[in-house]
Amino acid sequence: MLETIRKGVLKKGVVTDRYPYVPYMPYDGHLGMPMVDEAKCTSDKVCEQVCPTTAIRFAPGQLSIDLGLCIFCGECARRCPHQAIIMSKEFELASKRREGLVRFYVVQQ
Amino acid sequence: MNERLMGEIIASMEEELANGIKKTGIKGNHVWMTVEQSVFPKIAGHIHNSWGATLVSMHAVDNRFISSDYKLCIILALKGEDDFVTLVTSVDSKDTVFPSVTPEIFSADWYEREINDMFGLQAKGHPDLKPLVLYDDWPEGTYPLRKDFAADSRVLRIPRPYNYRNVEGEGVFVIPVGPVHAGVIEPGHFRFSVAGEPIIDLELRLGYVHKGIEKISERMPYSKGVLLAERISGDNSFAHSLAYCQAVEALCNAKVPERSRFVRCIFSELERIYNHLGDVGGIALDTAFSIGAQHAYILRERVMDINDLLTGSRFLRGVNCLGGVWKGIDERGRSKLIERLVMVKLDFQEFYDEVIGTPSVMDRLETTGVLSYEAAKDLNIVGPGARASGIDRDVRRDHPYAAYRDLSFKVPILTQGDVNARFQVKSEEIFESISIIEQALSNMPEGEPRIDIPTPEPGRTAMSLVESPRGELLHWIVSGEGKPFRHKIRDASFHNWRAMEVAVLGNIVPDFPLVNKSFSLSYSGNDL
Ligand code: SF4
Repeated sequence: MLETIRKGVLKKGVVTDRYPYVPYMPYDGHLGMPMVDEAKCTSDKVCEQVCPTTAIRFAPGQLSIDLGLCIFCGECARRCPHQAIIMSKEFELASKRREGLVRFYVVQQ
Repeated sequence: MNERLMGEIIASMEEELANGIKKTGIKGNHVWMTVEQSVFPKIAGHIHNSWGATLVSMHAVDNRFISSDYKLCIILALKGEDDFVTLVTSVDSKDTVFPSVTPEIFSADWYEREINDMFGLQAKGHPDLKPLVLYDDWPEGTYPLRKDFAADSRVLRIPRPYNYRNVEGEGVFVIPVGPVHAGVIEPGHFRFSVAGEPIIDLELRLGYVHKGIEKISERMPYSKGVLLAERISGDNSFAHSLAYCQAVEALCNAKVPERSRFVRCIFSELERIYNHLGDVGGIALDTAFSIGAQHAYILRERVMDINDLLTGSRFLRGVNCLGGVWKGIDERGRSKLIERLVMVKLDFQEFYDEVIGTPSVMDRLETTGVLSYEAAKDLNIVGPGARASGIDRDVRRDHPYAAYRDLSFKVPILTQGDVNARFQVKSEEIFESISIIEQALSNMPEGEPRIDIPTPEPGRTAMSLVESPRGELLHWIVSGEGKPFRHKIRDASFHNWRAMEVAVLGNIVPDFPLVNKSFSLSYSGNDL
């Protein structure tokens, strides 16, 4: 028993985080929620074509990303010629309604 | 070299077999033979038995709209050489029957059942051609991988009974377990027959999470296919995407930058380390050695955390791409990785000593779930499970890919074949992997991590073998217009599940989880 305590708690310490009481900060390069920089987007629809899950949809003057379909692959961010999409560090994405998972952005026509 | 080899192989055949060969060809380290259907099993059996070749895959291609027949391929890897023999035969599009290979090569059993399910080609002479991967209520006569089956079609589900093996006798009880299990794991049905305590028979029923990945892939342009491959089997993401990328790169004869070859090795080994840590932790947990298990899980978490730091993904997704890797390893990542590996190595040594120094744990591990060398060979077991039963095979050494040719490492082989042997093999592989990463980091050349590769021309064939943490896995692609025409995926678990049916015999039911964990089998990788 003593041996166990010595090897366990005393030697290793506490390894879990205090999240959610203390916020968690993901590393740089974390594949979190894709986010659009509305000013940079030219609506050339590259992201819509490369997205493997049809999460990205264009409507006139509007771009929507459905986080319920998104698999956070980062393909849209990598392929965008204008760096208008980034994979942000945002990871707390739960919503009580399905529609709450769709993010809208106003973009150039 | 290969011409001589092909000559020797043909010369070693009886005349009747050699006369059945219609066409031969050589491409790289592949010898191709197109053979008559009637001698197909015999030739495969001859190469398998006389040349000590292992069965890598057997699959069909629906070629009806090109040459109005089905093609059937068997890929065999020659023993001790980095050479493959592919046998191709044709199956008539009306009379969908071919002679079974199972009587010659036992491990072709599941492949033929899969071909029957997906293409509706019946192996004549197969001992038990019941469904393998399709759902129980999938309608008869609907074959998903045929080209005239639309990927988005909905079929009418009609429940039909499944013929389980019947074990009868006085005092024999059947314990059905699953498909829904306690805990967050995937579905699989296990049917134990017990006489008193010991298990006398186990029948597996899988396929509950069949997703039609091969069919989906036929609609996916190559660049998206990488993302699909990453999601075939969650914790083997990197190995699958690597195999896919290598196969597509081989289709267009592209040579990837040196640097990416080393980066690919580093991430492959990181994947192996965190998988093996999870397995040895699981083995400890299933012997109720919770403290040890938690130590292994802490280590696993540390490795996944460094994955996250290096790539942004704990499962190493978004790293591989056609023509190299998206993310190299920069100076900061490199020093962090080295630091973390030293820590993992020391802590793992401590965990290892703790486990083997605990008699109650060793008592459960030793002589439990023995898989003999003969059984492992007949069932064609791959990966650490095979190496613990004395089969000396590792794709990294026997068919080197990425930068493995330039790295030196030991392949641990044990012969006992019990849970303990698998535990030891995995533990040793963790140390070896750490050393491989250290070597790769110090030998990694500078340069671009990726190049652009052209889209492969239609009608070509390429394959790639990768040693995933679970063992050898295969991606085999025939190229079509900008996407695969046929994409065959074979995960290590497709071979290894069958080891369970043998290894648990004579053991008690409570040891089943332990044996299961020691083989670390994937449901998702099996149920493509
Ligand atoms: S991250 Fe991938 S799945 Fe999500 S929106 Fe971008 S391309 Fe689509």
